[in-house]
Amino acid sequence: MNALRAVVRFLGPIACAHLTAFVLIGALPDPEVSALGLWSANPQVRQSAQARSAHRGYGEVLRDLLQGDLGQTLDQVAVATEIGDALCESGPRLALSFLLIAATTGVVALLPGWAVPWTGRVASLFAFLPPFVVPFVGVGLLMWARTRLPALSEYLWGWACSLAITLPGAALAASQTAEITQRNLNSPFATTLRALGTSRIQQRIVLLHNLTMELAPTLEKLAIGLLTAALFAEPTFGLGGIGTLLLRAIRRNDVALLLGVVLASATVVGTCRLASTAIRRRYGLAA
Amino acid sequence: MKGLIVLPMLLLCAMAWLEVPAAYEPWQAPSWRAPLGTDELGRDVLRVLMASTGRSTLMGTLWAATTLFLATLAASLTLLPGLRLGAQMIRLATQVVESVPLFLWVLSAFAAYRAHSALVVPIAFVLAVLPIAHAVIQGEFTRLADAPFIEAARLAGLSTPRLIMAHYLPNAVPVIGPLAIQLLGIAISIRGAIGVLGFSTRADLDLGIILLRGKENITEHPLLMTTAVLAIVLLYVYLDAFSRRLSAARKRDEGPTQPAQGARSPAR
Repeated sequence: MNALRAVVRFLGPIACAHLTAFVLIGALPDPEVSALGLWSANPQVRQSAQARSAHRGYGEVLRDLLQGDLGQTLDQVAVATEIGDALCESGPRLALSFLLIAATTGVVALLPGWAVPWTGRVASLFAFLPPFVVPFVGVGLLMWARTRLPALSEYLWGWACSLAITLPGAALAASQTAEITQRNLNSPFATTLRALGTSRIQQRIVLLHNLTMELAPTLEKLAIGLLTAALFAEPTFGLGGIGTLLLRAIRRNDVALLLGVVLASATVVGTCRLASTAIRRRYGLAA
Repeated sequence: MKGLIVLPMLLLCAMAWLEVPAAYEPWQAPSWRAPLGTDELGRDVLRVLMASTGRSTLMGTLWAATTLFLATLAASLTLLPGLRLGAQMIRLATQVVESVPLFLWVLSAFAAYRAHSALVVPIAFVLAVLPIAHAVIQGEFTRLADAPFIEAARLAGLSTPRLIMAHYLPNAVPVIGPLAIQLLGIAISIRGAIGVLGFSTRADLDLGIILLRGKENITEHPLLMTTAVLAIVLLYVYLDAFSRRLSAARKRDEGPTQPAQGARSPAR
């Protein structure tokens, strides 16, 4: 029964997200209508063009999905292939970003007490910035560097994209970590530890358990943040990946590709939610 | 003194109506007439920034305020007995919306209903952010529900609506303040994101579009991008101070919470 409940809790939001996206995106203009510039044409001509194109109902889409077929893009390439290739290209960048975010969290958790509030403020500032500011500034700096150090600029291009993807998520994680650490340092438990004469590093290592438990719900937000950052960073740096694929799908009104990306995104976030629940259960907390 | 912290916000919103004529030559260097130079359309960059900041702040504030009002209302309703099912449904809606990047929802809605984008974008923003904002506020209300003063007020016979107005809402201000700032940041980003997609007009006075144009001209004219980023940073610093001032005033109203003078905790 518990396993069934867990499966429903995992698949439920994914299925609802897919359906919601279909209802929203299904209202998108037919790609043929968009391509031929029929948006502002005679309504009868537009309806005639739309009647000629094939419209799939959600039942048909769901049936194909259950058979493992995500459909084809406007370029007649299998959606699963496109998403797989994009994830292979983005995968190393996203993995590096995740590691850097974890490292940032560790560093903030070990900072001296006086530095924690200021770190939280600076991190909140970076979290406030629009997600495309960092890629824009990064591209600008690299283009300026290209005139002076072209070889170095080319080498740093990919790394800069990874950094641009990392920064918003790292800012979010750092601000959350600073807030939680500050609260933990004021707790009676931490006061007792200090009174017992434990060193600062020892106190922080003990408090890391509490930090891990309280940061667990942030995993889903980090996953979303990484996808959003990739949406802007990869096209800005001219690199392929899931972000570039998503932007191409939105621009071209590619319904099948958009639904496929929504499904992939919902699955990743659902997995992070599952991991977050498991972490909290390990510490004896309700989900 | 409290009015002084609100005055800059009113001035920022008033700047939204600033006129920005194209009265100069394109890409002029900074001068007395145009302290930050001119852009590619011959407009004074300082006036462009002021008008863009004002419009972005005004629109962002309206969108964020609408979202917060609806989210707080929904969180307050779930405190009423018999609405537990509503709370579960809102939790599911939050998980559904959070499964996909916010920008994907809003940009897809914009792409679908481009002809009515002036109304569609704020509606899509509010609908996309509402479940998340509600989850944060409801989480805070749930935490406050176990507070001793809430229990005491309930035992004293206070009705739920009065409990919400007198205790829940004022004590949730330290959470709602930072949330409002983040929502404002997202609202400002949305317009710029539409520009990134290529759906907006280059002459629009919006911080996001200024950033986009700044990126395109960053090597020859870096001042545009630099000043736009600086404007956003200054805006955040002010909003952060505003939020902290609001939270500090709330704590003063509650009375002293600091330990007695002379008591010192061990060094960290």
